[in-house]
Amino acid sequence: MLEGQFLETPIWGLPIVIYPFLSGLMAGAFVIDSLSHLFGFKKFDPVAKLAATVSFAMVLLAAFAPLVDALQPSRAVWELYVRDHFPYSPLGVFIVIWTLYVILMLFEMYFDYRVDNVERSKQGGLRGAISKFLTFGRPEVSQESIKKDKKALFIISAIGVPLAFAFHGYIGFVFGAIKARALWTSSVMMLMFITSAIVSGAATVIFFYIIGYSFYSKKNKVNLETLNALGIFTIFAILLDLFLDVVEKLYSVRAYTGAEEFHGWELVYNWGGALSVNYHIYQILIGLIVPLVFLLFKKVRQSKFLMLIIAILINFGVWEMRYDTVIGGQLLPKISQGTVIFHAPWLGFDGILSGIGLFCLGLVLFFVLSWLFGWEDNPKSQSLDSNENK
Amino acid sequence: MRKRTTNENLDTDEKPTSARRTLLKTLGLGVSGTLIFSLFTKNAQAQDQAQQKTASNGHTNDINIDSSDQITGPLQNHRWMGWENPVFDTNDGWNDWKTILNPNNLPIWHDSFSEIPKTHPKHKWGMVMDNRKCVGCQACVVACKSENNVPLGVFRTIVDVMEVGSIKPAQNGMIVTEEGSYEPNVKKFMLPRICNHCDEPPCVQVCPVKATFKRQDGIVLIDYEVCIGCGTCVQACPYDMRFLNPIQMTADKCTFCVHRVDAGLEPACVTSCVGRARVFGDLNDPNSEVSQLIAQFPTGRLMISQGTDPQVFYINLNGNLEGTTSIDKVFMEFTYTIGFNTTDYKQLGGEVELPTIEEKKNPFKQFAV
Repeated sequence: MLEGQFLETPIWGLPIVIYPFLSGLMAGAFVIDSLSHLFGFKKFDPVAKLAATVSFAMVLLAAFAPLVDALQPSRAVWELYVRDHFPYSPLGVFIVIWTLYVILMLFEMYFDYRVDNVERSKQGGLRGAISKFLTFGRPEVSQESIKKDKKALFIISAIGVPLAFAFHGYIGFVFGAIKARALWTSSVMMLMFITSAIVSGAATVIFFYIIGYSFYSKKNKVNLETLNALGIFTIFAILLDLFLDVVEKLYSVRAYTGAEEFHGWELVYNWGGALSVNYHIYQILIGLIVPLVFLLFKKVRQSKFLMLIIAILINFGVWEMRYDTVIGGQLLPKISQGTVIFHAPWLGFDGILSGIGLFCLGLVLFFVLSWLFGWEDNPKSQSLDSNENK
Repeated sequence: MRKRTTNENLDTDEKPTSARRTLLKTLGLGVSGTLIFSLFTKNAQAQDQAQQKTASNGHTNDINIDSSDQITGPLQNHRWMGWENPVFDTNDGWNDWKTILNPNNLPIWHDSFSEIPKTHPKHKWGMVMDNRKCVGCQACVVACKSENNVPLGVFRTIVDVMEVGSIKPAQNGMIVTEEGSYEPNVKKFMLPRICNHCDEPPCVQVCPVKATFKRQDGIVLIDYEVCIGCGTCVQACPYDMRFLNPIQMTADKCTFCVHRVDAGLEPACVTSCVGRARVFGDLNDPNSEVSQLIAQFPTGRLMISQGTDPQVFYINLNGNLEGTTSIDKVFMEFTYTIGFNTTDYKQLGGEVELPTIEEKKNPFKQFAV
């Protein structure tokens, strides 16, 4: 990207598109997790552990994307801790919230999987040995200790939900705080990022829930009630997202906004603009409206196959939202005329292949964590599943 | 016998280390393969740089052009084209870059810039661009490039040439095409652009590692040994005057030629200006030429609405050029910012294939009101 660059160049390429997408999955998945732990919705119990695992995998990976994009990644790790411009710089907040969140997730994972690990440590073998280590010397499975775990999870979720919102909200703030980019600087940006994060997190949990419980679980099956509840939750998240999109659209009308923002919408998002198809068709229609219409039917919400497709559509739409925001904002030049042309190279640190590599690393992380903790096969589940299976 | 034993010893010594190495290698490849891959180009660039350095240290910068017209030697590196790295090549007089940035140890600010005037700074450097005198000769651009070793493709200062006004269809107009005649009611404007060294620089505050700072005398600088190259400051500059230096792999910008200013000289662009359109001086001194010019002539500044309080003043600044320019009012004729990366360059015919046939037939469509 740096080769042959001119002054008006989209310098934030694919890694910065991937970064909000992955951390959105993290924040959204944690919200699903907290529905069970914090708000006590029993229907979400079967997906709580899955959501926590997704969140943990994504928070580990989320730090990689901006490091890939930084031109001096070797300096970045050290200097972000030692010379952090906290709290003045939006990006400087990143390392603080990220570190706090990783520590919190370590506690969350420990308390979430402790009983499972105790059960599994009796099996022996490598997985048993790892599970024994991961109990950290607390092998009690009495009702009292389980109650203690639940209390700890409640407290962790109570701290974690604001922290997850802060994590993803500040990413919105990184873009919203840059007043030089007319299409980014907006007070709604933070909220839009958080709501779309919840939408994508719910969709990802649905996706892995169906895949994991259908194909990889020996004991548990997909609970249609849970799927239904997840579907209803997604409907509300999509409605909130659509509302914010309408708000943003209203403030892009020529009479109601400044020249730069209006011209930006005209050149980039409005029909005939550079990203008009991405915005109207992919992001709004395929990503939000079509899933919303289908989710309104109870039969669809209880169909595993259709929910799988809807989850993929939603995640595609949220990916498009990140793409339209990050790239679209840079297509409007600051001092030049016309629109800047974005070209994603195949090779290079911000190329398509390294983007695919980041996603593969995410999947590998998720599967390693799944193998370590095994959310799909609760040895002795206290959840809705096992109650019904009796 | 001795040889044999040493050989055996060597073998036994080497085997475990080599096995360990291969294991480590495979592990490293497996775990961080994607990351290495993503950083591949950066490594390649660093290698290029290293090769460049070894070549340049021997002062063998001769360009060898073979009979087959293949360029060998330093010019092979198309990114740097044989120029030495200005920051890290200590043979070139740049012995201590940090001393060059702030030799008098002036206080620096990363945020809370409103406190700078309270410290009663001795100087406050600023520039006046007299647009009446600029002829668009681009001598300042060239001077800056050679003074600061700015790599190809990026610029610390540019001079945009624009036409303001409209070309209207008229009978017996000056411009005659197949579709009719047009009368140009236009005026040509040159707009020298430079880092505005704002009093409230948004680019400084967003830096996550405090790499960029504002000196007490108003100059906004970057510490190239701290910058991580995240690009946030490049995004945050409303004037698009920051860029990512493809050689240093950090952010880069105009420094008001800080090494010259600290030595009592004027910036390179000012000394090279043929019409004395660029005037540099101390805004705190009421008798300096810049203060006098600002006092005597009506001046404008670029994008005041952004609240950056820029310190580069323009005499005879057309209001249409103050912010982002609309193609209805201003026609960018010869600009660096338009680059080869915008749709409007294509519209000008920069590519072989024009977007639509209509525009080919009617080249003055955009001026018609």
